This record gives sequence, C-alpha cells and structure tokens, in this order.
Amino acid sequence: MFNTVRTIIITFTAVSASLLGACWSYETMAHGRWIVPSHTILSAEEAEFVTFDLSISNELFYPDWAIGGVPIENIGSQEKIERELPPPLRPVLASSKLVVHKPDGTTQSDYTLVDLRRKTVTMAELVQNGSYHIEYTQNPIYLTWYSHADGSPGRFFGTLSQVQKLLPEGAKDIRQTILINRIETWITRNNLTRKNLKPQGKGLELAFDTHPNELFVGEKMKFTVMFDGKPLKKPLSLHFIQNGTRYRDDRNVIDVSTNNGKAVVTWQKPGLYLLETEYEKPSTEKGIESETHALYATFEVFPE
Amino acid sequence: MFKHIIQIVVVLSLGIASIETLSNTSDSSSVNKNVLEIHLEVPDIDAHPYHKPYIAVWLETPQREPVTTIALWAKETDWYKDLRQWWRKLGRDPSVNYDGVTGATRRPGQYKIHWDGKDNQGRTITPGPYLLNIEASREEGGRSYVRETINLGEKTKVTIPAEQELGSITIIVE
Repeated sequence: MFNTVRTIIITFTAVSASLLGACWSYETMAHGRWIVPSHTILSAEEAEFVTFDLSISNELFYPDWAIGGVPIENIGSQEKIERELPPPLRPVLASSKLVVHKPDGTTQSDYTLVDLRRKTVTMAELVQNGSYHIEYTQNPIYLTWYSHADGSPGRFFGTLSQVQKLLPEGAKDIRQTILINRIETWITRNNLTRKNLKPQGKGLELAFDTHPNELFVGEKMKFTVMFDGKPLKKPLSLHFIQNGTRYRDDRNVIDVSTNNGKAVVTWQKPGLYLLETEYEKPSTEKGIESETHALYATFEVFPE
Repeated sequence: MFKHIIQIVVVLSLGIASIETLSNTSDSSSVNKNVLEIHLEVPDIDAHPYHKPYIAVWLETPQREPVTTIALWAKETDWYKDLRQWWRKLGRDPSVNYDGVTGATRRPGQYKIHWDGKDNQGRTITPGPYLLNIEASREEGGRSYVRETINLGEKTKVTIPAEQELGSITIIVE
C-alpha cells in the first residue's frame, strides 16, 4: 500500500518537473541510482570479499529505494511476499543482476541480491589479482506517455499494450519510450589491469585513459563517453556529485562537457563520487519514439 | 591445488629475480656503498591502543614515475594499501620485488636508513634529480606523507620538519 502511494508520488513529481520545462521533454525523468562498493582498492595475499549497496536515491550515498533482489522478509520465512510495484516493473526488477567482469576476462553473475526496502545488498569474492568492472544490469524500462483531454501530461510504466486499459478517456499524443540504465563501478585487488576496461560496444559507456582505480586529489581523470562502441560526437553534459549531500547545503555538482566524447575532470576533494549522465536518441524499436540511455558510475577519489 | 601452483610460480619468479640481481651487480661499474642516508623518527604518540606505523621510503623521477622502494616497514599486506601513495606507485606492481627492503614495523625512536644506490633488482640508479617520498600510516591513527626533491650524486643535507605521524627527517646525499 505505502509502496504504491510512493510510486504515485514519484510519478507526479516527474510529471510536474516536465510541466515546468518549456517543452515536453523526457530528460531528467530518471531518479539517481547507484552502486557503492565497500572497497575500491584492496591489497591482499588472500581472496577478499567486497559488499555492495545499491539504491534508487538522490541523496548521496544514503539509500532510499531498493532496486531488486529477494525481499528480506522472505529469508527464512514460509510466506513469500512480493514488493508492490506497477506490474510492468516486476520483470525489470526480477531481471536484476550483479555482473562482475573479472581481471582474466571472465564474467560471473550468479550473486544473490537481497532487498532491504531502502537498498539492495550483495557481495562478491575477489579471488584474482587485478581490476574488476562491476555492473548492475536490468531489463530496459518501457514508459508510455500521453496527454489528458485537457492537455496535461501523464505516463505509465510499461508498453502501450501493457497499459492500454489504464489510459484515461480522451488520452492523446500517446508515445512510448525506453529507459536503459547502466550502473557501474570498478575495484582493483593488488595490481591495476585494463583487460575489462575496454568498452563492450553496446549503449552508453566509458572508455578510460586514466584508470578508474587510480584517482587522487589534484589529478585528472581522462576518459571518453562512448555509444555503441564509438566516441559519442554529440556534446553530453556530465554531472559529478560528491558523497555527503545530507551534510551540506549545496549539492556542489561538478559539470563537465564532452568534446567528441572526450572529457576531463580534475579532482578537488577526496571522496566517493557519482557520475550521472543521459543521452536521448530515436529508438530503433518499432513503435517506440525514443530511448534514453542513462549512466551512473561510482568513483572513489583518494587524498594525496 | 591453486595455492600450490601459486607457490611454484613465486619460487620460480624469485629465482629469476635473484639471477638478475647477480648479473646486474657484476655488470655495474661504480659500486657506491652509501649513496643516501635518511634519519627518521617514529614519533612517540600517546594513543590507546597504539599500533606501530607502517612506513615506506621510495624514489620517483621528477615526473612521479616510480623508481624503487628504499625501505618498507610493514606487517600485514591487507593494510599495505593504506600507504596510499607507495601502494599506487610501487606496492601493487607485481613485477616489483621489494622483499629485500621489507622489514617489521618499528617502535617509536630514531632510525637511520642507508641506501646503496641500487634498485630492488640490484641495478645502480643513475645520478640526477629524484623525488624522495616518505609515507607513514598508523592503524587507528593518522597518515603523513612528505616528498622532497634530491639530486643523487650531489652532496647535500636536507631537513624536513616533523609531521603528525613522522618526526623530523634528515636526508644526507653522499
């Protein structure tokens, strides 16, 4: 019940945000989401465990909404509950996976995810030496947008065929869009390696000149924003936000623009940072107007 | 099973390293006994519990490229990463062997480190400008990191004022 209420509130917030805009835009409709590893740099002779917190939350890095996994109430209980969600979101959350790209190039994704309501948690054992690319993957989210008879906008999670019955009478300007999220971070146990830093060639992703586990105050991180394996020519606005937003008045967003995909950020303060960016393009899927590719990457910056 | 393979690999790589050391030593024309002397103090800190600090002393080029570890006083590898700068520059590189300069953590007091001018593979370092780095990290305590430009081969004496986790340091270039 409460979940449903919150979902509706989130929907209205998104709608009012777009009302404020001069034109009808799908941008900034996504909420911040992130993965926070317990460690990004490890030195050890033995294998090490790393835990992960994941959440849909705008306050960094304080969790707000779980993003998949087995509800904790179901652990050790005969009764199996399900989180209340709009039906089209259920398969999205059910498809959630932690994907660990290991230094030798192999991948593991059979990790158990636990939903603690405000966050999803999991862990991985790092046996190999080298750099790991950690991704949290989910199926794309379909959205159906429309205008009410009076012209005010509305939207539902799901494809048109999934939400047809929910559309109010007189709904017009019906459009379908897709939201494709990439949530990721990097961890290095002992030596830095680069084998799995190479772009996978699909969607919005980062290619690094500076290793993402070699970040220190006073130094630069150079990288390229790629789309489908090529530098993204269209200038993109990147936002870096440092952890601890709860304890300061200003969000202190570091804005960086790409130039033919290339970007540089100079780290002023140590901490954990979330990089957020979105790229909207016409969709190649039949009947879908556009797709928004969103990227949420977590970086740890150390003091000199 | 895997552990055994790892052990064999370690034994083999150590063997190769020591052979290289021998051949390089015989090749080097000028053998300098004491190229650098560092006087450093592990400060007496009133902390409970007190853990002896991990300390690393190493050289980099003026462009901050790693050259060699001169001394590492440490215990468990899990905490090597807390010597942040040493770890990123030399500690985590698997091709670097600093076993020969690694020792136990030290209790508070005055210490002298002598360096013969050779890297961890026994090769003589060419004279010229370098960055001497000293980093100390104490569990449940703080971290101090100092860096000084020195000119190897040019007789000098430099003093670095004390920091929280490092007493004053005197560097004598012979």
